[in-house]
Amino acid sequence: MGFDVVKLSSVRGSSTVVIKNVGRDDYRFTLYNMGLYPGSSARVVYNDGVNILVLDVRGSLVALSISLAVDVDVDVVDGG
Amino acid sequence: MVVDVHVHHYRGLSVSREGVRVAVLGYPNVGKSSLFNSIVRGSVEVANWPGTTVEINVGRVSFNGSSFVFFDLPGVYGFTGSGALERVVESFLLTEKPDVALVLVDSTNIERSLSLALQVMELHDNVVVALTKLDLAHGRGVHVNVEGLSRALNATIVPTSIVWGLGIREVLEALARASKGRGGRVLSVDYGVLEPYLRELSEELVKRGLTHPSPRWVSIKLLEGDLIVEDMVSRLGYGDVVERARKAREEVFKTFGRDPAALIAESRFNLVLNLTKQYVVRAPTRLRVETRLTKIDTLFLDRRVSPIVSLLLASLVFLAVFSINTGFPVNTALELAGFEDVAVLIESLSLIGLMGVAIDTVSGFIESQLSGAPVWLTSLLVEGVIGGVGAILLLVPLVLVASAIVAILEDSGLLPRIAIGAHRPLCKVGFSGHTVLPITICLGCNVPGIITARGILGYWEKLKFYMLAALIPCQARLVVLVALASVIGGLVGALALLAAYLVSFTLLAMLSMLIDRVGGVKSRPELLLEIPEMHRPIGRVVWWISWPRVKHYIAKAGTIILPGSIVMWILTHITPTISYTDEPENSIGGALSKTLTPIFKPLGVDRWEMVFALIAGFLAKELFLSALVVATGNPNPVEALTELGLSTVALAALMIFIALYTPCLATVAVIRSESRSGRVALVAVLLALLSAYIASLSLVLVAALSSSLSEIPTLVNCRFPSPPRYSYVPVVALVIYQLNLEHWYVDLV
Repeated sequence: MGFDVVKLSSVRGSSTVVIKNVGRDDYRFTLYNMGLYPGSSARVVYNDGVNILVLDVRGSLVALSISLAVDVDVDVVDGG
Repeated sequence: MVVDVHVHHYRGLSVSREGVRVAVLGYPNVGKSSLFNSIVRGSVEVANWPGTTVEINVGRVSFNGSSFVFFDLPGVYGFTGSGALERVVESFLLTEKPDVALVLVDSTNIERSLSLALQVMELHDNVVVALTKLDLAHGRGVHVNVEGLSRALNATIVPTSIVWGLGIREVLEALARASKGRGGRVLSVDYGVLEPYLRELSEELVKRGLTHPSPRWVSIKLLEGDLIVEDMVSRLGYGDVVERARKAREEVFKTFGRDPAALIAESRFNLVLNLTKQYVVRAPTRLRVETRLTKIDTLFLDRRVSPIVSLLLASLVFLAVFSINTGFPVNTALELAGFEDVAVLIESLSLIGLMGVAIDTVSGFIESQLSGAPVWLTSLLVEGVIGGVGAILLLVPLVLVASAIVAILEDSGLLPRIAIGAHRPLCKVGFSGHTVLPITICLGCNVPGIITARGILGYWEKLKFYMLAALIPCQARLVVLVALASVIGGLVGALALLAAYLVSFTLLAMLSMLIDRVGGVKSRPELLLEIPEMHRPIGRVVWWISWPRVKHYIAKAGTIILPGSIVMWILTHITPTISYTDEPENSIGGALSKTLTPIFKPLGVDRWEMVFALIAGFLAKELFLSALVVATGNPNPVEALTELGLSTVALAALMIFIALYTPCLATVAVIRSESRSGRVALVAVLLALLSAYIASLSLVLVAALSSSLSEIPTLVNCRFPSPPRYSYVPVVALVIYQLNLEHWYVDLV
């Protein structure tokens, strides 16, 4: 269990995270409306560490590029 | 005073709005296309949102004496004026003011997709909710208390399943009822700590007489920082209210340490959570599927395997699309293996082969009917008009099959997986995984490839693709390249063919990165998509998605191809003194070719016949060889090429030129219609021409540098006395770029 704020891009697969901040303005509203707003939680299903990260957001799988995830700060709730 | 806001610069959709106007909204992958097409039964016209490339499908239905016009809006997660699609949806709802909003909610995952319905209900007072994928939900033990949820939301909710054919009639009945009972109340979500700020802003807007949309909704949007609403309110002269909202946002940040937009999203999702707790039951069942990666997903996500799997699947799509339509590449493989008769049979039995026979038959019939008419008239009608119509129709099966296969991939859930797998290699050259299929299809024909590029997410990336797609050599170019390679002969010919493809793709990558740099795009193209569950595609839905694309192609591209064909006929059959000629050399095109020939001399091409063939190739690349045959009088294209006596280097340079030079007329027409911009089409043509010239000239010069400079005239078979002074500039530029001195190069440009 750890509560340090880290970048979503660095969280390994099968971890549960709480979104702390979405830094990218151009995708901010889209991520919020997808259910990834600060305070919401998601499960990292897969992270290749280079290009793709897959999240379980309220029961749906969402793939996002790592460069997008770099701008998302999270708390790791469960290291899986 | 009654104040009603409008989106600035809105010019409206160019479609009739007779009847009850229904806006169809939903998340991506909610099953919107399937339900929309099931309601309108494929009767769809495509309208584009003014000033954008975003398309809105419009369908009409008559039901129980009422006429409905359905507007299928792009799939979005919300509308906060950020992305292009969100802006279109928000602008549509605000300015078109539909009579009823039909919002689709995925019954397998109400926890997420109900959020959009709440957003619509906060704006619109007449909302019908369709619960989609009921068949899947039942299979997983998901049960929805429709009546309870309906009461809680004060909206009609209709369960639907396209697989079971359930709910279509009920949706229409609900819409008919809703259209007669306008004037209900919009939904009011409790935004907790934001309520005092919302009340203050609302009261201010009420004082100023704002009636539409509701002052509370405008206040929510101002607090979120919605740029469209901020602009609209400012234009009403209420800049002070916008300023007050900005200050309120800062205050919320300071007081609660939270972004008001995040607090608003949280409140909506909390309400969704409460509603699902009360009205949705998930019964334990053996069939229930957990949210996890399947074996197929892991294939598309594996760093080493995914590019190969995606490439293989994209190749399969390519094989399927073009084998059915043209016989290619099966025919080429058979030809190379020595089975020429079988290759010819496959070609003649392909859809385009059969269509070609039909067009030839019609041409022959019309020609026979015009036996007494002047020769020029017969030629104009048969070659110019019927040839032009034939060029449009010839590509119809190709566009249809390509659209259908992409629709199958979309509907089955395979397309997002291929995009994920291809994202890794493609993003290194400035494209996202979304471009994998368009690039693959362009290898067969640029026209359907460009049409399938509609699926590319980013606006900039899409425009860039339209500008560069013509650099991808299509099958018609391959035929010409193979003819030229056979003139060179042997291993050198084969290597020249390979080099032409390598140069094309290298230039595609380099120009993509260069355009990004010039455009100030610093970040890599982003990928953000849902991975829907895989399922079997539904045939009729695939048809309903594909057919409008074909109609759109015929309507838009056809209006450019036909006049273009007539212009090409004039170029090749009318003399500069305006009389008819059968001799291409005496035509305007012949004269133009002779005038342009000096431009091609540095490439070693000093024959007007070759330039004439290149001009004909602008109409359709397939015409290159036939124009050469007409110009030289030799019926064998390979012999005609040999007769011109071009050197090996000149032939290789010509191959690179042909692989890259201007897209054909149909491609230009499609770039124009897809991008809604003549400028983008012009840039595409100029980029292709310039790249072709620079790349082929570079080959000539590199070849010259590798031997002695004095041998240049012999090597390239041209007669200039010394190498042109500035012709080394492009080579140096390319070398600099390849040495990773891009910054310096871009500054220089």
